[in-house]
Order: sequence, then structure tokens, then C-alpha cells
Amino acid sequence: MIETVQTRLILLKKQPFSHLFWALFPLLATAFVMIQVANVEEDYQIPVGIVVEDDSMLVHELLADIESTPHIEPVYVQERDGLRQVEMHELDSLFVVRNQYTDDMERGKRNKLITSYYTELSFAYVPVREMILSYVQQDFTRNETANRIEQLRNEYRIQEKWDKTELIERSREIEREQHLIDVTLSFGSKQSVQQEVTPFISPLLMWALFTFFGTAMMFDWLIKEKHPAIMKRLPFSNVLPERYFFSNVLLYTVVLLFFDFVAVLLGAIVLDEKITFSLLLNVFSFRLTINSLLYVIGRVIKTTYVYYIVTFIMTLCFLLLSGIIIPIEPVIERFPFVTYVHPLLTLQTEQYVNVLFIISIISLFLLYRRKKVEFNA
Amino acid sequence: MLNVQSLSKYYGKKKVFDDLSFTVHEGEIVGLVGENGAGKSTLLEIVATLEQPTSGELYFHDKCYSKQLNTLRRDIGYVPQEISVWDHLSVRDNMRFFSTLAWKKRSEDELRNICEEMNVYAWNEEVSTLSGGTKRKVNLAISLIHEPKLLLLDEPTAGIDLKSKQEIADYLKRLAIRDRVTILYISHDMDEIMNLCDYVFTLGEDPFYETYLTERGQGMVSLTKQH
Repeated sequence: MIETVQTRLILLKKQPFSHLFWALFPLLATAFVMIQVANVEEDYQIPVGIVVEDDSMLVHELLADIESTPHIEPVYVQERDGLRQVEMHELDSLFVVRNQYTDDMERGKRNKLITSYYTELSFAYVPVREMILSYVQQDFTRNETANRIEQLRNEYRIQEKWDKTELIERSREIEREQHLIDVTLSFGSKQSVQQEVTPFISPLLMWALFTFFGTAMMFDWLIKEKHPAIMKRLPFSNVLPERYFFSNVLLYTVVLLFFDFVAVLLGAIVLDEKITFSLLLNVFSFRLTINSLLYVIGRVIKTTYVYYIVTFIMTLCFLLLSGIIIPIEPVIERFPFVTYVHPLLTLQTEQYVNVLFIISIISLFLLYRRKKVEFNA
Repeated sequence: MLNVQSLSKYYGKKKVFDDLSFTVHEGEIVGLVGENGAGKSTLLEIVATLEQPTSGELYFHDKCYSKQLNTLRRDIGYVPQEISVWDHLSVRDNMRFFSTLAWKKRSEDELRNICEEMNVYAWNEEVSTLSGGTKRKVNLAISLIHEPKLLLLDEPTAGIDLKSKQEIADYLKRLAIRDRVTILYISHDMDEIMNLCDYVFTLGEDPFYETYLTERGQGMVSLTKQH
């Protein structure tokens, strides 16, 4: 192994920065994308028209809830003007809080409290509607509960008098203190129950994708050093060609694992997440999977041009099937084995062992046997 | 002593050569000539252990090729036809790279001496910037790092100037006389062959080389016609 380190250092003498760049690339690229996404998330607000026909505490509370929802920008308009803006696609959709909203709430009527308008281009309509409905349902239930408590007090002739408004306010306080319900608007990604806004893109998936790409770019040495003439020299040295490549991949794996664990540590600090043994084991398994996979590809492919094309296509496939761009839950539901084949999903779903890793190891064994025969070793 | 007995090589049904037998003694320089496709490089690769013969046996210093391959490789130095060095590295780094992987470790001074004996003084220069002749010399120097007893050269002077050719030839002569290295040498340059080699093996059916060598009084053995 010392010989491998020494020869690698000699070879890297002329190009230390490119290797350092690709080693740091996953961390830097993930940080860059996450910062950009956070900026976009911050800047991006969906304009939703709100027409308020009723004026009561209940309505004010509903409006406060809507205003506090991330990514929603309530625009208060008149119904006619709002409809025009929806037609012009200036507003994503329009919600009209009818003038009998409070009365119907009080009477326990839930039908037609709010009227909504949208067009075929109202891409945020469904989640916004669901969010407003959840607020209405929440207020309705709160109101109903207060009514029921009042009814019970009367039935059982309890002397102590509880004001309905007080009950509702107390319920709100409990909700605020204990974060009973938290609704965040999200598209494609799962609903969160934490106070923080769920990022649109999973940092772990993003990092894994960049790690695969960065490692693929770094591993082009497998092709560049597969110089047939130089390979003819190795049988007359202490190291046969296949052992030369294997020990170098092993060295790269050890060094890159160090970078991986640094990335995990930094990620945990920045995102305020815990580093679990399971996470470390999954990262370790992910690294072994991609390195062995790229090792096989690098040994089989003969030219750097083909190698780059193959690894670019693989990166693209991993990206498309990762859920970063398009939701893939239906695919996973239908073909659950995808999580065992896709290295990024194996990492995310904490499956530990990927099928590609097993295939790569078998291929490496066969390749090693074949090359050994080839060089009569 | 290199002893080759009844060596045959076939690629499927295609014969490259059949039933070759010859002996090369310690410290001898033997040329290998023949028309293109006669099997010179294949023969050299078999002697270098990079190819397996279809049949026959080889011995070097009584070590059997089929039984003591790894031990034998320590004694063999192979100079491929292509320049097999890292172009982006300096001469020094190339020598250090292959010395690190070699069975026999050499100090930097020793490595430098090997190069300087062949008049390569561009120790710290990148190989890509060197002349064809110097590259060829570095190519040869790398093969000598582990002090081989059998040196196999496949057109080591192809495409280089006369001066560099002469320097390489002088060095190889010194190696054979001083260090008793057995040398098997392929070249298409008949002047070079006759100047350098103790005798010449011809391979192939074409009588041209035999006639050429006989007319000039060169010691010659026809490997193909032997049987």
C-alpha cells in the first residue's frame, strides 16, 4: 500500500488541484445548490387572491393563518377585480370568504364557507386549497369543541362560567406553545410536521448525486493510466496491472471516505441534524457502491470519451430517478426494488446494501481472474 | 542462458511459427529479423512471458517458464516497441515511479546514473518536451531499473537519429560485456543489427534476410529453416 501511495503522489504531482477540486466538489456543489434553493424559496411567493366579505375575529384568525404560511402571498382584492387577475394569471387562484362565514361556523354549518376560483394554469391551487381547508377545518373543530363544552356545562349545571372566546383563545395558545399542527406548503416532497420549512431538495440526495459525478470525473485516471504499453511494464514489477488498479481504487476509497465523513459532519452541523451510526454506515456503503461500480466501468471501457458519455448518462439517470426533479413515489410504490438498485435511493432509504455493489464485486472478481490469466500471473 | 525448445504459436488455426528451437548464451546480443508478420514480436512477447506459447518450453538460467514464472520475471527486462513512459512526468519522476514498483529498490543517485550512462541528462525535464531519441533512451532506462539478466528489446530505436541509435547500441554492448546481460533485439535496421549483434536469428519464409546477412558475412541462424 505504501508503494501505491508513493506512485499515486508522483502521478498527482502535476495535477493536484483537479483531484482536490473533484474531492471537494460534492460538498461545495451541494452547499451552492442548497443556498440557491433557499434563496429562491425565500423569494418565491405564490400570489393568492383573498376576498373578505365577512369581518369577525374568526375571519381575522383565518387570514392570520394564511399570512403566516410560507410561500403564500395573500393579495386582498374585490371579487370582480380578483377574478380578472386570475383570468390574467396575475393571481394563482382566488378564495372568497363569504359574509356568512362566521354565522355558519357558529351554527355548525361547513358547506360553502369559502368559494374558490382557479384556471388550468393555477399550479398551486390544490395545495393552497388544501391548506386553507385545513385552517377552516381547524377553526370549525375548535368552535365546535367550545360549543360542546358550553353545552355540557349547561347540561350538568356547572356553576363555573367559561367564556367561549376564552376557550378558543386557550386552544390557540396550546396550539402555538406545543406546535400541535404545522402545515407547510410543499410540492412533490412529503409534508413536514416540523416547525422548519422542509427544503424542496434533500441535501443528502443532492450530495450523493454530486459525489457520484465528482468521483466519476476523478476516476478517469482508470482509463488514462490504462496505457497498453505501460501495462506491459507492470508484469516485470512488484505489482501486476489488476493489483495496481485495485490498490489505487482502495486508496481513493479511503481518502474519499474521509471527505465523505467531513461532508456528513459539516452537513449535520449546518442542518442541525444528528449523526447516527446508521447514517455513517449508509455513507460507507454508498461510497463502496459507487467506487466499485466506477472501477468496473473504468476497467471495461477503453477510451475516456466513451467513459465520460457513460458516466454522464448514468448521472442523468440517477438524477431523474432520484426524486430531486420529479416525484418518484409512484415508481417506488410500483417497483420497490428500485431502492435497491439506485445507489442514491439506497442511501436515502437506509437500505445499506445496493444490488449494483454486489454486481460490481462479482464483475471485479471475474475481471481480476481474466486479467490474471491474461498476464499469466 | 536462454534455451527455447520446440516453440509453436498458433492463434486459433493460424500459424505464427512452429517448432522453433534456439539457445542464447549469457552476455550475447542476438538480433531477430524477418518480414512483417513473421512473428518476431510474438516470439519476443513469449520470451518476455507476456504471451503463452501454444506448445514448447523455455528455460532461462535453468528456470522453467511454465513453472517459475514469477521468479523469472525478476530477471527479465522488456522494452516495448511503443514509448512506455508517463509523458506528463519528468524523467526523474518516471524513474522514481517505476523504481517504486520494482522488485529491486534503487536510490535516486543510482537511477540518475542509469540515465546518464545513456547520455540522458534532462533529469528534471518533462518527457513530453524531450526529443524522440531521449524518450527512447528513457524507455530503455526504465526497463533496466531492476537489473535484468535477460533484456528483450522490440525495435527500441525506431524513428530516432543516428547519434542516439549509436549511443543506445554502445550502451547495450557495455551491458552485455560488463554485466553479462543476455540481449534479444528486434530491428528492421540491418546496419544496426550487424553493428550490434553477435549473431542474428531470421524468422519467416522470405530468403531476403538470410541472403543479405550471408553476403555480409554476419553470423546467422535461420529459425524457420532449422527443421
